[in-house]
Amino acid sequence: MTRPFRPGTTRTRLAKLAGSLMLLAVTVVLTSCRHEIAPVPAGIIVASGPHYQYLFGRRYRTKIPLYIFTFASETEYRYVGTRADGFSFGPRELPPRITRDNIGKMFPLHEGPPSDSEGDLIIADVAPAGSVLTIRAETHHVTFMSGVRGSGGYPMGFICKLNYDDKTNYVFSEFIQARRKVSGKVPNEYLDKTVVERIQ
Amino acid sequence: MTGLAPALTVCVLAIGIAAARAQTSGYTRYSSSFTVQNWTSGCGGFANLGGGEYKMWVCSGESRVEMRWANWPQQTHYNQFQGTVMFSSDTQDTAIQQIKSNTGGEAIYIQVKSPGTLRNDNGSVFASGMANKWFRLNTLFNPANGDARAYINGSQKVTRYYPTSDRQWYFKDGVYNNGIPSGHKSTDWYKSITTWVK
Repeated sequence: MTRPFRPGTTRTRLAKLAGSLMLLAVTVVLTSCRHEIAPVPAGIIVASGPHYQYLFGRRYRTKIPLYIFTFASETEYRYVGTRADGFSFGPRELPPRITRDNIGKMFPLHEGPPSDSEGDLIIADVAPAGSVLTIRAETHHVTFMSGVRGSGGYPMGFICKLNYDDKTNYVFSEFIQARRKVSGKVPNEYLDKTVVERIQ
Repeated sequence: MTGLAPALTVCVLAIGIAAARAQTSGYTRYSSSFTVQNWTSGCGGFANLGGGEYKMWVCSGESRVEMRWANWPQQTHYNQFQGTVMFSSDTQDTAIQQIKSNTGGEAIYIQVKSPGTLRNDNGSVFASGMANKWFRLNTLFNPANGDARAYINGSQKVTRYYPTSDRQWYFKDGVYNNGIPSGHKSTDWYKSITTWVK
């Protein structure tokens, strides 16, 4: 059984086919014109949150005095550390004895790779034992000097609020952090227990 | 047929324009300024190539070269960065764009991990084969609700919930050394940078 000839239907089909071919052609032309644009695989959306969020808000009391210091290259970032009493926390350029006499003094960084190009170390203040340190956030902004980088796990520093002598400073704690050796991506950084004790 | 071609052309062009504007749709563009943070020791550098295009490079053993944009004027809104970016095939272990606060951390931290790959924070690689090709990068964050996202060429690649009470957020772009192997150099180019708020 043959179907009756319907000229209008055929014309419509041809028009649809031509339209599709034109759309394909235009797409090919547009794609080739944008050859410098990087192709990105579709369908990949990576989701994550802060890795050390379970530490945020935790409060600690310092057991020993700490220097608050900065680097000449970027004085808006402040750090805590000490080399006193045989401790090795902080850059080796920190003075071996903690005294307020060093506040405002500059100590040149030693040469030697890897350099962080951070400039001279400047003592900003001294936080006495008994200061309160509260972990606020995590950060990728860490120096090579602290040893956080290359430590495995999530190699991040903490940003802490430091309260002492009726003052508040926001400091990076990377020089008083310790870490577990881990394999894979898991939180492994914590504040060293010889420097702080948890109070909340 | 003759009436079909213009219609199709208009349609395809409209789709292209819509894709380019999709991330900033509903946002208001605002002007911002930046300072250059060049913490290198003789190898790395910054170049203003004119026409809104910039080149930054950092070598192993150096820290970073970045454009540090001003703190957002509206900290409790969505703020979005849009730029067209390219990085070299030698670029690796380098952060190229951040949404950052000095007291709140990094809501977005786009890195080139191994050459040609992109990832956010410590997450999985979401794109590869990206070296030596221009691509459009959109990153956005709202500190009030913790919603952070990143898009490559209009395709969402990162979603992140980053709760924070901090209100000191700003954008950064450039090259930040996360451990460039000895003897290597990371280089990127940025152009058509705009900032948006919603």
